[in-house]
Amino acid sequence: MKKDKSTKKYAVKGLEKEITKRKRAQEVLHTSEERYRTLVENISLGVTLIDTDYKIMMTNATIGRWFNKPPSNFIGKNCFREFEKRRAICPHCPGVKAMATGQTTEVETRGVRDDGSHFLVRVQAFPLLNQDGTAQGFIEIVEDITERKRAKEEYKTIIGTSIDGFWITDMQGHFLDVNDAYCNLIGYSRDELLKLSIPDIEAVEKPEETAAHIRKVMETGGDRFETRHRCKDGRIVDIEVSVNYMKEAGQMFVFLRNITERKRAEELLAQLALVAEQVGEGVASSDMEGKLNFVNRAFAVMHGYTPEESERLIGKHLSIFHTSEQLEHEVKPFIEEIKSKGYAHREIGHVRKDGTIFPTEMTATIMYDKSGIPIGFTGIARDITERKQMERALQESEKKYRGLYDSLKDGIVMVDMKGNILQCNNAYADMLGYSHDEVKKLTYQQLTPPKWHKMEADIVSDRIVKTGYSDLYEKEYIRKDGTVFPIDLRVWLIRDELGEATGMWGIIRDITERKRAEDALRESEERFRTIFDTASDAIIGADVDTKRLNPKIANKTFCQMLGYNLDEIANLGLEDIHPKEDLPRVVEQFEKLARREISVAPDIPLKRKDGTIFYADVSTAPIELAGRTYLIGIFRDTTECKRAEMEYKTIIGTSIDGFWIVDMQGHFLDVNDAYCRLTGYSREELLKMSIPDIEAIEKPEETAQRIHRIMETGGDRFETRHRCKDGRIVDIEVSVNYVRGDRGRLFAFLRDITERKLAEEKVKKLNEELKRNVAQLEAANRELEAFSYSVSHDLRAPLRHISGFVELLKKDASKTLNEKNQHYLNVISDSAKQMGMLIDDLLSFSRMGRTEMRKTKVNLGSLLKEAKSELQSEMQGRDIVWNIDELPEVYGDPAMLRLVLVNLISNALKFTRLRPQAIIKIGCYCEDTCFEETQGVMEATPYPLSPPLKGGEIDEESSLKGGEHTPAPLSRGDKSPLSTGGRGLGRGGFIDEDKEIVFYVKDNGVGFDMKYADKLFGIFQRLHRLGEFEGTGVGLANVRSIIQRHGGRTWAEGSVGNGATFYFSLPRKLEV
Amino acid sequence: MIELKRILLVEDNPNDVELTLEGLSEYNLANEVVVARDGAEALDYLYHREQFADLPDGNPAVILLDLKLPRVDGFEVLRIVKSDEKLKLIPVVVLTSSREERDLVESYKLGVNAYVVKPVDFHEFTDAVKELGIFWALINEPPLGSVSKKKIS
Repeated sequence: MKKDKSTKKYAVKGLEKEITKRKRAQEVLHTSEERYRTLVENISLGVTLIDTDYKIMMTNATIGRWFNKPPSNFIGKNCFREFEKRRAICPHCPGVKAMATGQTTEVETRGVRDDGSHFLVRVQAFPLLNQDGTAQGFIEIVEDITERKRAKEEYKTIIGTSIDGFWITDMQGHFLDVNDAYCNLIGYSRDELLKLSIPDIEAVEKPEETAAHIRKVMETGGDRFETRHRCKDGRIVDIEVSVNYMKEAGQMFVFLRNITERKRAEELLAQLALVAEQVGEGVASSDMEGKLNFVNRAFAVMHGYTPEESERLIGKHLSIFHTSEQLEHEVKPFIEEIKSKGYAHREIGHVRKDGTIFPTEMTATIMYDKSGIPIGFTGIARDITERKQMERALQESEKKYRGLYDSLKDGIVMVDMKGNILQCNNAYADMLGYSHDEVKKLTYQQLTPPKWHKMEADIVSDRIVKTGYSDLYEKEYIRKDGTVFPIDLRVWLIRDELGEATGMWGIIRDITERKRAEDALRESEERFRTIFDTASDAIIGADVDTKRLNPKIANKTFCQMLGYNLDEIANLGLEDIHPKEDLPRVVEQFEKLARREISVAPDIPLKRKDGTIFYADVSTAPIELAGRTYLIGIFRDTTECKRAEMEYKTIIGTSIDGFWIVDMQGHFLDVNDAYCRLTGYSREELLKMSIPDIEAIEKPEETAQRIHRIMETGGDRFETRHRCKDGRIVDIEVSVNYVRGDRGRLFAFLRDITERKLAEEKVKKLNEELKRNVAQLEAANRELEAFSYSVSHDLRAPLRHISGFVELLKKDASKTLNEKNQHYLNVISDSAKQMGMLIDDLLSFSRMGRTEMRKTKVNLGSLLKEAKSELQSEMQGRDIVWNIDELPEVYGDPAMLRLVLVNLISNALKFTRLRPQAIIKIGCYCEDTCFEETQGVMEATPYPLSPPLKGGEIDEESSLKGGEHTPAPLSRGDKSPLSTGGRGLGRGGFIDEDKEIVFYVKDNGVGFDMKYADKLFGIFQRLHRLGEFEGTGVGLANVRSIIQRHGGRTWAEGSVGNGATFYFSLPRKLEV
Repeated sequence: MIELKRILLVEDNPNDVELTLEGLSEYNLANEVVVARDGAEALDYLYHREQFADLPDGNPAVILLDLKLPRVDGFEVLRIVKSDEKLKLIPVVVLTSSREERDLVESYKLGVNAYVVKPVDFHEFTDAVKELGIFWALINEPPLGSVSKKKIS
């Protein structure tokens, strides 16, 4: 931009002194001055006038605006201070240079405002010369270039950092500037490029084409096109060019983008699309949101669109291809899978344009751009409607086929003419138990038992070879395990083209089951035949039309009954076997039977061959046999029945029990005399009555219910009451049976049980009383138990204390006590001990009574051994002769019986203590035992019993007279029972050898006075002083208690100084 | 040093208490015997209740228990002790006059450790008590931490 005009203005000023034309000139000047001033004030450039002392003489408004002050403020001030905030003039000041050189000088610098902010300016200084050529100052024209600078900086930054290439070229195509990105792209350095022009790198256009292109750009102002550039290394790169013509500068600004990759991708895509179109499968792709950006024709057609419509689908959402149902349940999870795995393969339902639904098989992948960001989905869909249908059809067909295959149980085999097996199906091999391979090494002859070989060879030669096939025939096969089974088979001949027989094939069926069924049938038939022949009823078939008898349906009983043989029967008809006079009735019955109007014809008269007549009931039914109808009659000779009926009538008539026959409604059909007597009604009266008329307890409907029940159960037995004619009520026991038949009948026996009832009532009362007594007894027992329990606990404590404190006293005071005192203490102590023993024994006795018995078979012999060994200590140092019988087995509680023996033996030992030699005999009396009694009395009678007592009293005399410590003789005939009181009184009474076994323990000890015999077994009863023999008097009480609980008895015999015998008996009968 | 273990004697009869202590005294075991006069008191002692509230922790080495007791009887005490997690490990010896089988069976059902019938004879009785004391208080190893120990030299 040239500032010639302002220069001219001041130059013109120097011409003011022109005198001529002054006024005109002045006016002109004024006008001109005004014009310039306006210009200067209004231009966007700053203008200032500065003198040689660098004082500002004038500034225009623009400068004032830059510095935010009125222009007049600058007048007379130093320009370097005002404009640059310098203290002195800058040596590079253009004004200085301009004044020195007289030349226009230009510089870029910055203006600094009072607040320190600054702006960039370009300054042009023009020298202001006097006429003599000396400088009188300079003018500065100042342009604000801040914006331009910034734009340039920005351009540089943008171009420099752009990833796209950038050129500036002139219109001849020379490079004026290139950026780094293009250098990198093309492989040349910047310096190299700046020496080159476009044709050097252009790989497509020829230089003249480029020139033409440039001209076109100059016309249109810009262009956008694709071309290729040749790199320094010879590579060709695809370039997208965007060019702008900068008319003012006469330059072209060009952006260049390497699109090689994109091109390749595009080509690939184009190829893919081509492929996609050709594969015939639907291909579509969408962005991540599902907006379609590619749909091939197949995809469109698949969905019911025309191929042309495929273009129009682009931009739509993929949901148009699915129902909302499919979207929710199939597409959504499908997309989830693609997103998580990158791809997915599923069956997905689609919907066509017309709304029909079809299944597809879809494969879809996710697509990424170069930087790995997912940009969309590509899916390939195949319509699998047909495949689905085919699959279904295939499944159906397979099912059918398999069914057929499975049901094919017949073996199929192909053999050559020698019999070698060439082929067979699985059923054949399975049937024989061989594997497929094994069976192929065999011949059919090997598989057939030898007995069939000849027959089969004949069939082959005579039949198969001649006619080409065989009829069905049966033979047998041998399985691998050796078992033989029946088969049937049919065989066909195989011929080659020449008609020569090359082999045979056969279909073989295992007929084991059929054979078995046939056998069963045969057996059944035989069985039936046997029954038929041996039946006690006569059976005969007669032709319904001809009324002739059929000997094939006649059994032996029939022949016997009528006296004909089978051959004769063939010639008989109805008229031959029935009496002539009865024939019309018989024929009538016969026809009724044939028409099934009746099934039984009673009392039909029959005529034997010998002419005698008998009656029979005929039950019958018509059957079809070989096209003819026969009546099969079963004849039962009723002669027997008639007799039985007579018998029945006699029995019933003479029965002391009442008897009825009633129908199902309860009407009496028959009653016997006994019942008439019982109720007072006559037979005739009763036959007009029914059960409710005589029933005194049940209501009619209850009776009906009972009858109904009896029909189901067949019978009943119950008690009720009947009302007699005179109003008496009698107790009746009824026993009733239901007899089936056309019409059911009830047969009832009725017994008057009034007496029995009364007796029962009594028994019941007694029983209740007994129960009460038992309850009382039980209560007493419980009390006793409680008593003995507290005895056990409470009674022993004071004893323990007495004993304990006496001992303590003895210990503490032994020195101060004299002998007498010591004795007293000993007595106290011993007494306490004695009482302790008493209590213990008492308790054990009471326990014995309460302990539950555990009865079992017991060998008393071995129990005795145990008892003896237990008492070993008491035999120490004694001379004892044992005399022990063999003892039998008994039934009882072993522990208790053992205690019995221990007590008895212990007593014997105790009371023989004073004898130099003790003799203890233990034995028993029972049939099995041989009695070898040494004493004569015993020989006289095996029953060593005391003599009978008088009235249960103790007869001292007799017992003493018994003498010799043995029982008084008692003959068998004498065994009249004692009074019942004899039991439990210590006396034996008589022995019933059938019912009991008697044991005894006999000693030669001190004996006892029979006067006190009854006391022996009492609790705490002692016959000896404590000083003589120790003891508490419980042992024998225990013995009695135990034996009584076993159902036996105890007693004893003895005399003072002559020993004692203790007896106990046990029941012989084993009570289980 | 002998570690003495405490014995709990549950006995209502003072005579029996005296005799039992006499029996135990032979081995200087008596000073470690605590006597409860009935079942309720025994339970108070075991649970540190009432007059025993201030008792230090720990269970006796053995309980000698009579069956027939006022208020709470021996079976009840046995049942409670044997069904309490903290007490069930204490050995319990029934020391009773009763020789009844049902008492014996019931005691063993409830988990008694020994059942001893008090003999009437003094010497037998003291022997029995002595042996019990020696066995349960000296020989038997009780469960850890369940015994309060007192040391005497």
